[in-house]
Amino acid sequence: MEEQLTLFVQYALNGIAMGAVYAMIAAGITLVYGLSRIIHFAVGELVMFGAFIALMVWEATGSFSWALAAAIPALAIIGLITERVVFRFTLKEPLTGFIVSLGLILVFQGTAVEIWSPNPKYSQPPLHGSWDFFDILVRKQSMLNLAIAAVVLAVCYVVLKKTTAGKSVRAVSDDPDASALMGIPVKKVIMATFIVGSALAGIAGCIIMTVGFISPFIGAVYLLRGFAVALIGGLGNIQGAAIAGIGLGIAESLAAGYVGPGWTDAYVFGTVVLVLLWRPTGLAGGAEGARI
Amino acid sequence: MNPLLRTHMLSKHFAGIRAVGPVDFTATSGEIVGIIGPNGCGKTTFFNVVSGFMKPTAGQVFWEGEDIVSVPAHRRARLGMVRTFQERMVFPGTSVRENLQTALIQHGVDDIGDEAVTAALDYVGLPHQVIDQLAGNLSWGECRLLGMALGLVLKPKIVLLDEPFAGLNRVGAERVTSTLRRLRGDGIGAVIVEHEMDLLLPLCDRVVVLANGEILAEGTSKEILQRDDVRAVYFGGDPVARDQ
Amino acid sequence: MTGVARSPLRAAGPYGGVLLLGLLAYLLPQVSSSSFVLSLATTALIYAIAASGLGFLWGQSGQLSLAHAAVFGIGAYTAAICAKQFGLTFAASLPISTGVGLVAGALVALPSLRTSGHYFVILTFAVGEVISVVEMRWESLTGGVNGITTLPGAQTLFGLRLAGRADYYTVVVIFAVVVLLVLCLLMRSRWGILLRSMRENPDLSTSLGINVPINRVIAFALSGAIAGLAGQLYLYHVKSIAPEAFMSNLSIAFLLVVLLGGKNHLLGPAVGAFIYVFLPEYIGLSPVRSQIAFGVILVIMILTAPDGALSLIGRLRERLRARRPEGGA
Repeated sequence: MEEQLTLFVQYALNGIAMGAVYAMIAAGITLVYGLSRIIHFAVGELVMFGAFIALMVWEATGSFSWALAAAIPALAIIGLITERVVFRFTLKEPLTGFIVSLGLILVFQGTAVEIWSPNPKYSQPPLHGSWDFFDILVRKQSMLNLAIAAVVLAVCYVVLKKTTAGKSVRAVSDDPDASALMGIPVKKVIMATFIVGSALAGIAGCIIMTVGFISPFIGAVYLLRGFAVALIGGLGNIQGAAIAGIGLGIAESLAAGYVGPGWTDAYVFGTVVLVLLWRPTGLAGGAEGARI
Repeated sequence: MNPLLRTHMLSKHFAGIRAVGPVDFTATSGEIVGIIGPNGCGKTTFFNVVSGFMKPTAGQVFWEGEDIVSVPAHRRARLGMVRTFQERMVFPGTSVRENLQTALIQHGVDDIGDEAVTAALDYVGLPHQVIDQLAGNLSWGECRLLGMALGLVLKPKIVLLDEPFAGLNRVGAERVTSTLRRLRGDGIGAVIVEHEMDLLLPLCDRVVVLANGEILAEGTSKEILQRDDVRAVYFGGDPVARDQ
Repeated sequence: MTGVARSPLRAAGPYGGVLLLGLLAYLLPQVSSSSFVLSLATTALIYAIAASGLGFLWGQSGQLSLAHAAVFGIGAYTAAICAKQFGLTFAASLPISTGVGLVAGALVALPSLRTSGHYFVILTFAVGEVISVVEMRWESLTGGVNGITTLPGAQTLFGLRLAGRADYYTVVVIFAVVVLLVLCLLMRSRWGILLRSMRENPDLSTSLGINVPINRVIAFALSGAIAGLAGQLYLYHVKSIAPEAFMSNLSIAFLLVVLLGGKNHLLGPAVGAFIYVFLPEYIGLSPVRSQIAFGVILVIMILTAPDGALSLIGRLRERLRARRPEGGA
């Protein structure tokens, strides 16, 4: 009985760390959608890029901090470029923006194969070792990852809710036209969300690099998890994303632990389908236009 | 005799706040009923509930004596209750011909050739040249007429018209008026939600005044104009603001 | 009457176009008998069939599906399982793979009864991914990551040997022409008019008595059936299938194929498919580089010519006609 409980807690704990990563991806999706109404489907590829850049730097320098420090600005720049070069021209037609992001998937994935080859890569986690609490194994890297994700999400939340910059983001999300009249630089704010959203994907990539294998084709997996979380939490809702992310992480880890890892993707995607059928506009958010 | 369309204690709430009701309302074929009221009095919501585009919170809608609350919107149209829309009135991306052909097909017409289409254009007084144009390229007034034509091609027993005069200039309004005047002769009943009292009242056999989602007054145009409470609600203080 | 009656020639135009395209495709082996070109052309035609189904769905009913490749894969797997486990011939399994595709298409559409817009497109993507996982993991049925290999052996259809490259190419040409003719017929039918109305304004369609959800599901089922048929044709072309061939990238590729030619034109997806298959070969791009190039092309197309390459021809014709003085009317 006690063993059972230990195992359960162990699975749940493994899930929390991963769930925080999903929450970060979802926060990026939600920010971009909230302001531009664009469903940015290339976000999974941004995660993948972040992971590869982090891996390169980590292998070259042996420092996880450097890996983070390289991946975040690199992805922020990618976010800036994609916004300036393409997404800016699709703001009036969100469906066009969505299709553009599909094209970017092909571009990013192909580029990754060109640079890093199509083969999967594994890395040693930067932090070895673990603590042992009552037979529950707490890996140091997992805790570090969780801490990074928690800090990043908390910063996002505070910036959005408490600062002037955050207020203008929320204003644009509520009503772009009125915000423009009030003198808020709407286009700059939208550009900023693309930068921040991409950087969030980059951080998520860094963390993913430390826990499993990466390849140019992992994008779809993280894309769908990110969207599952964003949708369940309600598009445009960061707190919802954090809760839903942890929830999905735990559920997935339990499913993998008790039923076997092979089918977890099917459960996750099946959950997305069921949630969307049950509550077409997401669990926490109201209408399609749920706001930040 | 049973009225064709009747609502009983019909109400609609949004998030607990009452938008319409409870409303008891009747309309029958060959009769033009106007529904007037200040902005936000629930006129369009009432239409949406009656035509089946929204589920009522409580109450019933009867059609020829049968409760049709659970009948989906498209089947209400087939029963003979057709509605028009205030804004998205036509199929913008297809030609006027295809717009009208859609309605002709739905009416079960065998021949949907240009003759049938131009007959429909004639009915609302649209010129034949527009037949090859994209409906989205028509002027606002022409869209309004085409939207009415789409509904009327179905030869409904009752047509629900949502602000048919909104956004029209004098010429456009006159064309709409002359189309509406033909309805009674063709045995088509009309329920018209409208803001423009001057244009609407002369057309109506009966007028219903909605205020705060409830019926405030009912009667002929003349009776309505003489009632003090109606004037207070409708004309009180500021001149009536135009919808949006 | 001012509405000019359409000339019979113009009315027959699209049918003639399909037949002309079919004739050109049929004659291709006479021009180039290289088995490489023939194989590419077979692939292009199969993609043309599948993408035409998507093009019809998107262009006529306005619904976009990112599960199309998955349904295409279901058709291929169904045919493979029919052949491998039940020993069915090509002809016997054809109605099955088409029928399974039809049902799969309808199932993908069912969520559209409850949700729409962005949510629905994401849903189709998720459904496609679920199907991929099932193909990957249900090893007893699908062979897992290794997939299934079938060989047509000495089978014939219409007296043509399925194992022969040139013969099989002709089989595919016949199916392509039939599918395009059926789609042409449907586009010009009463149902086609109703579908376009639903695309333009679903609420107004409802108010005219059209059952919008049911008609959407039917349109999806039709496109699914076409994808299922194309899937079987694909299996007998490549002989060996594995799950990664039908992942979301192929759905994006179908979308690109439709956009390249134009979603509002009957022959658009077919033209797009030939560009998609032949262009990289002729400019000598590796598959990975051509994927990057097509990604860029997709972005540029949707930003500059969202109605596709064929619409450019249409626009040119409009301009020429506008220059000519109006006669009659």
